Amino acid sequence: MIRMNKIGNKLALIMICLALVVTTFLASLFYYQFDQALRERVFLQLSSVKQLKLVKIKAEVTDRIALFNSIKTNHSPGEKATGFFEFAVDTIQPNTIGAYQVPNFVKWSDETFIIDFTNQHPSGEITLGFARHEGGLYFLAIAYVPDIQAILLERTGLGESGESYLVGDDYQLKSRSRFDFAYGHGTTVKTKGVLRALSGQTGEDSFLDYRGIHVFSSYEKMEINGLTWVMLSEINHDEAMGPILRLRKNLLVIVATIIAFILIVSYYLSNMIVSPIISMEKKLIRMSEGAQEDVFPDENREDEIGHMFIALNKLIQALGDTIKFADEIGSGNFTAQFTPLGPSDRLGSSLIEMKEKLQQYKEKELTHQKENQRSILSGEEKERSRLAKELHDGLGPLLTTLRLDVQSTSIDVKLKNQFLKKLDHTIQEVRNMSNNLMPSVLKDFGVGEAVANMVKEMNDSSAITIRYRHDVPVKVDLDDHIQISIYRIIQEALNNSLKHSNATEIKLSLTYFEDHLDLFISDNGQGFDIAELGNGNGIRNMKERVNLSSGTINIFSNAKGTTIEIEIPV
Amino acid sequence: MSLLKIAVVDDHQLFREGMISLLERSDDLEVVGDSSSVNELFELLAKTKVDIVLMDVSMPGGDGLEAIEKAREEFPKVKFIVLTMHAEGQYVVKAVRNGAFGYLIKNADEAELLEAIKQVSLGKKYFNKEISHLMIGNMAIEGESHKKLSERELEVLQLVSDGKTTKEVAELLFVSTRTVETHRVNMMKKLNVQNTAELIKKAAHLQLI
Repeated sequence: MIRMNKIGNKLALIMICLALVVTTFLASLFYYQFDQALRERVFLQLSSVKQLKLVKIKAEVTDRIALFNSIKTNHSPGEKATGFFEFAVDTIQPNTIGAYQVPNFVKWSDETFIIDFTNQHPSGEITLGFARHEGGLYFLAIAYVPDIQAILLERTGLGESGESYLVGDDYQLKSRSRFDFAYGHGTTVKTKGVLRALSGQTGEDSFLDYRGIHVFSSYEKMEINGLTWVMLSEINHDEAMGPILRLRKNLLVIVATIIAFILIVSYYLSNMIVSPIISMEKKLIRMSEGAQEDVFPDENREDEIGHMFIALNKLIQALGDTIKFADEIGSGNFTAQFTPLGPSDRLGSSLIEMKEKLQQYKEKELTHQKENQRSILSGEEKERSRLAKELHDGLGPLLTTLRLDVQSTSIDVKLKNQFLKKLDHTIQEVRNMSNNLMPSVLKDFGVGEAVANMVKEMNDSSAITIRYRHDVPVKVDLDDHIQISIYRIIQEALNNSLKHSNATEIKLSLTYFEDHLDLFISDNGQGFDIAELGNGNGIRNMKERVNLSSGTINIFSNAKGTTIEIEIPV
Repeated sequence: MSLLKIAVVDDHQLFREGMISLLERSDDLEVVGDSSSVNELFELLAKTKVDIVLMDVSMPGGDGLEAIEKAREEFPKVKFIVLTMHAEGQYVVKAVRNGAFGYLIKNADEAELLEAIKQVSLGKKYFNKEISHLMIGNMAIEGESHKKLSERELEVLQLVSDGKTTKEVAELLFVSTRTVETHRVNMMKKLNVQNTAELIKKAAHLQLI
């Protein structure tokens, strides 16, 4: 079924209609003109043939009249006259001559009167009678005029179906039909041409002839000395119009060919126009379903469709960029850059805004998270600090007071010394506990000194050698939490190294700069696989601490040892 | 010979009382006052003659060691013996710097306490073996430089001028190469030069190396 909502079909229909109108108009005009010309030509030809024959026939008849007129009175009655098969001279008006009855409308005068005896001839040959009254004598002669029939039968200029014939004023056919000798004398011919000619009109027309066949005809009345004949030259309509019929056939073929051609051309053309539109439509539909389409292959078209492709490619490109950007945002890459496609790119600017919002949100979230962790850690450290202080400044003095009391008591010296020894041990233990929780030196002398004490402690209590350097001034104004952080990081690192590395030496340095602290820890141990253990508890704690202090940490490890470089901003 | 006038400063009343009773058992001593804070001590010093103060370090409302320095200016005749729970070298060093004559851990024996008071009263300083050890250990680390470049920077500078590469310097000073670079940049800033060659030239000129 042909769907009229298709551009291709519409285009084809328009083209066919246009072609039909134009070809029909042209063909009709051409046909009409040709028809007119042909008719004119046929009539002209018929008319000239008729005229020629008319002249010949008139000449023939006039010749006979002259011959008849040359027969004078000296001609004896009963004597045959040359050219006439009956001849009579009489003093009385004859009523018959031979087998022929003389009609009474004959005007007898010295002017020869011609009588048409064709109807009395037994086989209908053209037979003319000549009558003259001269010098008291009645001259009467009858002659066949076969020449007239011959003239009529001459077919020059009349084609296959051309015919010239004579009709009398009695509407009887005088000459023989070319086509069928059944038509001849006795055939009544009351055609339009005959009627018009008898009424004195000369002209051309087309009508049905005596045979009932449609003919073109040229007709004229011929009057010679009382003889009234109508001369008709005719040609069959079909033959005359043969060229135009052939033309009509050709025209129909041409029109059909043109339409077929246009059908093909319009199909091809509409395909050319429509197929890219259809492929674009498909792409657009898929794009509207959210698919990311490939760009169109580079079609070198300079027309509007080519421009449309370029525009569509731009759209696809732009959408692709936007999708890529959205993807980047979706996967959390907030460093992705995007330039809005234009001042009216609302999607693009919304995405950028979203990115910024998300970025802010993420930063806020991170800050918040850091803040939380920091506050948890600082709460923990505060608690440790408080406990350490309680032990050191609360329990410590109580124990020393107790020691004083014990010292003051007058008990057995041996027992007293025993008590004192146990007390000293307890006091030392409390001091150790306090120190382990949070060394007071850290708060009073800074991280550099606190680490120095820790290192001394470790050097004393283990086989490892820790070489330590630091240049953190005692009076430096460093935040407690940074100092504690660094202390804990170093504690963690040293403990890791002591526990796991089998190192014999650790180099540790803490370098103070105005804006940051550099921490360097390097052991000569067996190292570890960062990928595998890089997130173990110890390392993770260190990393977290560094992160919370907004610092950076680099860990290098191989079979020859581990080096940790940390930078903390202060 | 008049009795030595002793004051005890400690925020723990029980300890003060224990200490006072211990001291008062000695015939040569007289406890003329006790304070629970630095401020009280200054009030006491202002109205009473005191020879020796037994001073705690960590007290609410004021650090004992700081107070010694201040008191030495106002009351130069008063001698201080630090009596504390802190057994870390840093405290000892600071105490000495601030002008303390002695340093005792609170669980010191009665005999040692009295010996310290005696020595100090004679104008001598008293630090037992253990305390001396702590002090010396820390003195070695300490040491403030008033030169244009820090000790650390001078070390780096010396090594660089010896032709050591950054990596070698880092290796020798066990710091990261980044730290060495930072030192170098800081030195160039301090001496107002543009590159290492100029740095060494200028340092030589200033006789820093």
